[in-house]
Amino acid sequence: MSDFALNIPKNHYEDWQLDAAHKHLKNFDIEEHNLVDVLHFFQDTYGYIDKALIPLLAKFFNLSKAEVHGVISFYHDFRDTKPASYILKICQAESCQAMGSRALTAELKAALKIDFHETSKLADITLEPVYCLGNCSCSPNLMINTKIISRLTSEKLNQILTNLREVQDD
Amino acid sequence: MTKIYLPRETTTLSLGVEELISAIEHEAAARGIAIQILRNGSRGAAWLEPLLEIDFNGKRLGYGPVTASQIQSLFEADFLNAGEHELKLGEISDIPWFKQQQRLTFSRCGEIESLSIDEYKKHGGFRGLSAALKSSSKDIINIILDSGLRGRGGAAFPAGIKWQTVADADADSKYIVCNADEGDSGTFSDRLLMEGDSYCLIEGMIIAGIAVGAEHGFIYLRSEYPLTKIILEEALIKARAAGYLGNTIQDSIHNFDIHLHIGAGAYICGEETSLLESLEGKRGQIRFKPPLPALKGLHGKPTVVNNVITLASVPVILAKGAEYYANFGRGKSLGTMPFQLSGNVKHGGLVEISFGLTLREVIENFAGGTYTGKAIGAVQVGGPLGAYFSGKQLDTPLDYESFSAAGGMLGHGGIVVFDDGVDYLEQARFAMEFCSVESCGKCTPCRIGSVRGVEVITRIRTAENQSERSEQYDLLEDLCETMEDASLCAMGGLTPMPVRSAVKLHQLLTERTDETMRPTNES
Repeated sequence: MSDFALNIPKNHYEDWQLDAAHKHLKNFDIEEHNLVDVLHFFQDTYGYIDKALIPLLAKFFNLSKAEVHGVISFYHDFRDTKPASYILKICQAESCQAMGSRALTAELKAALKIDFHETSKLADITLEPVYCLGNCSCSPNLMINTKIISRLTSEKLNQILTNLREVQDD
Repeated sequence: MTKIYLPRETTTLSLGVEELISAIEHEAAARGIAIQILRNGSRGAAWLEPLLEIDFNGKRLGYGPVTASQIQSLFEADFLNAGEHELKLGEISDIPWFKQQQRLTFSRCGEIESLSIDEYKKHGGFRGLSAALKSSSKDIINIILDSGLRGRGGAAFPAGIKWQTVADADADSKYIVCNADEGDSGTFSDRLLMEGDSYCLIEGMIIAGIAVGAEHGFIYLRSEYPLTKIILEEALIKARAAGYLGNTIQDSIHNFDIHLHIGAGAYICGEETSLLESLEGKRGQIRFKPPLPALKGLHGKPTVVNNVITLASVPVILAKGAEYYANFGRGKSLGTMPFQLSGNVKHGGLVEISFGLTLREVIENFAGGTYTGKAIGAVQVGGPLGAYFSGKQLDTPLDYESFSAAGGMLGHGGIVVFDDGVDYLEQARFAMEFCSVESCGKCTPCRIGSVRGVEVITRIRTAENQSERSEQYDLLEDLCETMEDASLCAMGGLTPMPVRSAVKLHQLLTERTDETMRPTNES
């Protein structure tokens, strides 16, 4: 544990602004980029897909608003509310189950007093489930923003939560 | 100046390799020693990561698993000159884990600096492409057909036949799509290959393009692999700059370029038609087949959709010949397969071996037992849609036909081990739940059946007596039959495989428990 260091940059997002979004959209070329690419860009920029983007995207891609909404809601990655600075994704798939992820997930939910897809009032954390991070030989796994923490234990989990709370207090 | 190799790879990163590098640089500077740190991929022995290697008189010596706090003692032991230390593993090629493998597709992975084109070429890279550039489309396809290479993504369809179909199709444009949406739990071979030897995949895709007459390739990468994305982007830029992608590649008449597309967290997009929909920017809903993607795929054009490992196996086949490759393996399962050991194992990681060893042999020879030290309960092979095996079933040889005959499938080669504390019924319930979360929703058996499945299995758990319970078992079997027969794709169609196998193991266990509880005549 002495080697366990946690140095994870916070996610920073631009504040949602329709005019700015309009300008961003003009940088895309419909021949080169598809709706999923553009949604990724906006989610990376704003942290979520604002509802006001839907008519804009519909017009840009010559789709109906329903079609755009359908694409957004189909993919687990896209969210419609702004997340916390830290997005915690804990793996729910078989390999991690075999190493105790069910108990760790329960601990995490209890510590943060939230369920999946919610943001904690106790820390700057949004909790999400994920089905496999492809790091199964070192299960169980947890991803914080883009950093994976492997061989997760109860002890490590507590340390992470303490650590993230400290960053928040700074 | 001693060369130090440390992987730039997801697992190693999760185990703190960046902190390790800072510690080494700091210590070397303090001691006034000049070092050169090179970034390779992982060789797949996750239990030895971070695996530090040095180039010592042309030999690769390993130390691992290394943590930052051990750096000082490594310097004190003079590890740069092969000094003795408790972490010293000796020559890499002598380590039994590697010695017992037949690494064809992964031969370079971990050995070379992963983004160096020179290193790639020095270790046999682009020899397959050279051979392909001198061959006709027909010759290339025949070599792939003769090699016996089958799709490594899970469906195991002969790659040569797929290529032939696309090559024969008449169209103004054709596409090569690489399926890198490695969603199966317990699998990471695509990721290891892309992070450690990305040019191998690029080379395989170029050869596929030449063979079928396609000028555009796409890699559909899952969003859960952020490091892989960065590495692939760098590799594509370098390959373009070196004239391996773009127009008139290597001054030939062939044009080929690759675009990287990032998925958005949907397991179903690993299904080829769903992947194509997603690649077009739509909901990843599956398409009816026929028409086959080989005839009407991306944007309605003939498309080869192959998994990463399938495409990455192509260069070695072209470079060394179909016969060389086909001499590995057995029956209709020719060549090698990267199996991935995970879950409750002491030694997890990737091993590339010929088809044919039994599941038990692989677990015993490589995994070294369970992590918890308990007995093995069950092993799920082939991802979340694969069967749970236990007891004598562990003696099933790892080849496509034997596994299918035993009621399972090899899939993408994932082997997830559970110890005997596993709750089989919970695993069966999870298989249904996973299907309900990840179903694309197009067909009813999968979309609704999986939800009903979760409910039925929950009722099996809460049933108050035997007759109530057996009623639910019958209902579950009926549901499984419907899903298997009437689902449009493998998601709903194969979910019954883990469900039935886990339920069977649960029943065996409860019967056994009931029997030991029952007073017998002898006592």
